[in-house]
Amino acid sequence: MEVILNINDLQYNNLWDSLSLSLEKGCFIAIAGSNNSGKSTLCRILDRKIIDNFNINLKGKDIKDYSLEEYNHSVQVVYPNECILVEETGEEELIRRNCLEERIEFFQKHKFLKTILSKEIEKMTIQEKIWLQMMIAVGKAEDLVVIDSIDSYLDKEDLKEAYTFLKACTKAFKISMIIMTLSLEATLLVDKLYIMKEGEMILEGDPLTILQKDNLINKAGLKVPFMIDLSVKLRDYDLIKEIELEKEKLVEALWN
Amino acid sequence: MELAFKDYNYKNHKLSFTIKEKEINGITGNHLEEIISMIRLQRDIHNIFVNKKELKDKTLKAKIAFVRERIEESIHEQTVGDQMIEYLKREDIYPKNVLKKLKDALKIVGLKEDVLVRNIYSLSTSEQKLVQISLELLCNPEIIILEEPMKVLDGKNQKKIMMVLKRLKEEYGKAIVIISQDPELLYQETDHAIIYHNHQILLEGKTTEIYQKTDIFRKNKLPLPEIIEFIEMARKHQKIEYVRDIRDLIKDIYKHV
Repeated sequence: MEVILNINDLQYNNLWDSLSLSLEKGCFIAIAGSNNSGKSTLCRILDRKIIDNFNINLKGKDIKDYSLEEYNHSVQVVYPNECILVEETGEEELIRRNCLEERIEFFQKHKFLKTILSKEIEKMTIQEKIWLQMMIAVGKAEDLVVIDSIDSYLDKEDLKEAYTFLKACTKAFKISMIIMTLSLEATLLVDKLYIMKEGEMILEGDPLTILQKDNLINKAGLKVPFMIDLSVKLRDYDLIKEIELEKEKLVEALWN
Repeated sequence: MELAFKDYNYKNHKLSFTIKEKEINGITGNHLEEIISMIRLQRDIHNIFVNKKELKDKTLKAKIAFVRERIEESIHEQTVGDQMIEYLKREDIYPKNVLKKLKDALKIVGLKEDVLVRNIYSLSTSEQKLVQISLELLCNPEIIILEEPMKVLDGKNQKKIMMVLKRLKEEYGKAIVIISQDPELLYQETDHAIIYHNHQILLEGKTTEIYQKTDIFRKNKLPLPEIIEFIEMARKHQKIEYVRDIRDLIKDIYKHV
């Protein structure tokens, strides 16, 4: 698969020793880390708000070499608490931001998103504004959307819906997605999960495999989602053979 | 102690609930913003009743503290020390030894005095939360109400803040009130739970007992903790105990498999 983003030996303010990451086209990844692990800083670096002698390539070209217009066309970054929305409705905001028509149509097909788009921005809840921001970013970005920690604003179910929406967008528009997160609750839905601890990526890979490494995840200051935590512990005690993600199936595996 | 809001009237429902002294209380449900705004606003217009007695001015400030979810809402100064001094002035508190007062408030939450000269936004997220709590401790309140205290914190920092809250409860006799939408937090960490639903109190009582009333939660579309959902399913097969800790659940499953 085509690699769209390459981060090589990133170092900044003692946050990371030598952070490297490559992202394929159409791939959805989550980077999970504790508070102050540098997730927001990484967003700002990818947004070119922090500029230094970094070795970061987007589609084979150093991100510094893009014009502002070119880069904004290619990459969009969502900061949940830093967005100025000026139009009357969500849809008007998408149009003002020059979001692609086909993508607005895609959003309109989803009942929930359509409601947000027709709603007055002034009357939106913070959660609805976050959904609107995600739609703006997906509506504009040709190659990459980066989302900074939305997990502190959305509850568990909303978070799962947001991940499902983002995943559907990666598939529909062949764009890549990076989501920064504190919570591992919805990360089973991503293609690849990274766990950051004290300046290094201590784990990376398929989310179900990664989430079973409870000791390392806990050491990174994060919480393993309940069903995986329970399944792993029951498997360690030889009470079940395989990880079960659904409560009903786990109960069946134990007593049927 | 009973907390009542004089001006609250929704379809003839009055609002009052019990805050257990020296316990961790939790308030959850829908429209929590109503409870939050009542506590925040009514604190300023002085018509909160505690045990049927209206609290005014300094008596109210000394009784109830409110820690907001976002630090930006309560911080105006640059350094922790300046913010604490501004707080003392605002609340008309004039201690003999100001520095000692500030150091003591920080010490209770486990912060060292060197944070006094630090810019608040240079502190880690958990340190910022601890500063917010220590500010409120300057008034020596009996009740400390916290709005979504864990929302922006990782698992490790959540444990740290919970340890401080437990210490405030156990060593200093404070009543802690956590207002949160997170059923896991409420179930795991509180002793007394209040479920506020559709503008009135739906359930109130010992947390472990409240969360066993799963039918009421389901009927009102209120989220249950995952451990409760699992136990409920397991109880169709075996007499699994209602526990809070996943390790206790595993021990119990082990006995029954």
